Amino acid sequence: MMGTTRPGAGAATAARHAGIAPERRPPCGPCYVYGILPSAARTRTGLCGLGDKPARVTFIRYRRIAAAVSGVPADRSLGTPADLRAHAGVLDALARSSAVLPMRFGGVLADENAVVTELLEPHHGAFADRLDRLNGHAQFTIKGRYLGDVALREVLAERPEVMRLNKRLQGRDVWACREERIQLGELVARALELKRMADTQVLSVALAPHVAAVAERAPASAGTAVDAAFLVAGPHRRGFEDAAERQGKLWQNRIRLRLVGPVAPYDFAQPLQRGE
Amino acid sequence: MTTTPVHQRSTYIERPSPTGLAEVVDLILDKGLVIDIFVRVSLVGIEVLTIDARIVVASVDTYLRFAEAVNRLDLAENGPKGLPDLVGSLQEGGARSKTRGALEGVKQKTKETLGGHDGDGDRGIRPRRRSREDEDG
Repeated sequence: MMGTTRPGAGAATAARHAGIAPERRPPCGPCYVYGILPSAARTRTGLCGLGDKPARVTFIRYRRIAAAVSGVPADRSLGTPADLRAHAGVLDALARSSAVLPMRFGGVLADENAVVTELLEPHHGAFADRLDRLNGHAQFTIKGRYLGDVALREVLAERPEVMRLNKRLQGRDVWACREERIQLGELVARALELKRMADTQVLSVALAPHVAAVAERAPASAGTAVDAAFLVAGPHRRGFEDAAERQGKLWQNRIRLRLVGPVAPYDFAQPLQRGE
Repeated sequence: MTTTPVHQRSTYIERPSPTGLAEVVDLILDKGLVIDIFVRVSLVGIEVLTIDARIVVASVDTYLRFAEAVNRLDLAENGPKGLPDLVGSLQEGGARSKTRGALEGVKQKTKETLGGHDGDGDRGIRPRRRSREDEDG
């Protein structure tokens, strides 16, 4: 039982895996945690973390898993554009050569000892299992936006009740028929939501043969047609990209798709409860 | 896992770089593992800034804007106010109150990066005049 071992002991254990090369010491004070990866991962050295003078990213190991950490700027809040870029940059770089479990932006622990005793040790089994599942996979996100007013036109064409109510309100004083206008807007909003769900379903089905998992994302705006993250195994990447391309072609007059990736599996690291 | 550089062979889908600020915000916002023992704000004297990026869709104000958009659409076939415009005004009206200090520096830069139009400025993130960075600096 490793129990509440010191990080040094964890490092000694990991050294047997001949994975992460021993490098400079973790930060002395508060540790910013980017993510979790296997102790045995062959990681790139020299990654720069966040901070005005970017701190070197180091690894704190405990048995099969390790945390990628760096020092934290002590004199200001976290959350600048550079901080966000550094967080994603470190994780995406790690993901290029290893499975990685991204932590949410802003995870800080008191010191390196706390990284072991409060993060790695209590969650060792769950993290290790998750890393096994993510191994060999990368995340791609696809967002789509309806072109121009195509979605509204489709709603008008497909929903007779919207068309009828819309016609009835044409030219009438906006204050005299406020309740009906609210009703019309509500109908349109619901129709757009159903349209979004249907289009998301079409995309998911088209890509299904190439993906290991899908995570639908909360639509960020009314113009969003689809917004989802896909977990794709290495050998399926080409097929996935080709299928996305085909769907983009099918939708070229309706929806403009944006494909981002490969990136670290941000959408596939579900929140854990204490003690999991 | 081995990956190769993104190739830009696509003609029907956009392939933006994951390192653009708008993409980064979209990727990592509210994503990733959360452990409840993470020190937030006080314990080590480090404040972590977050935002609520969701937009409010179910509101009377939103419905009235939808009604207006669909109304104009039918009237003026050649120059209607389309969804992107609508989205812009939705964000202005609906989501502003949800925005908190947090990533406003980010948001402002995001908007600059995108030239203030669709792209991924559609997270309902709107800059306010006074950004956190302005206050600090």
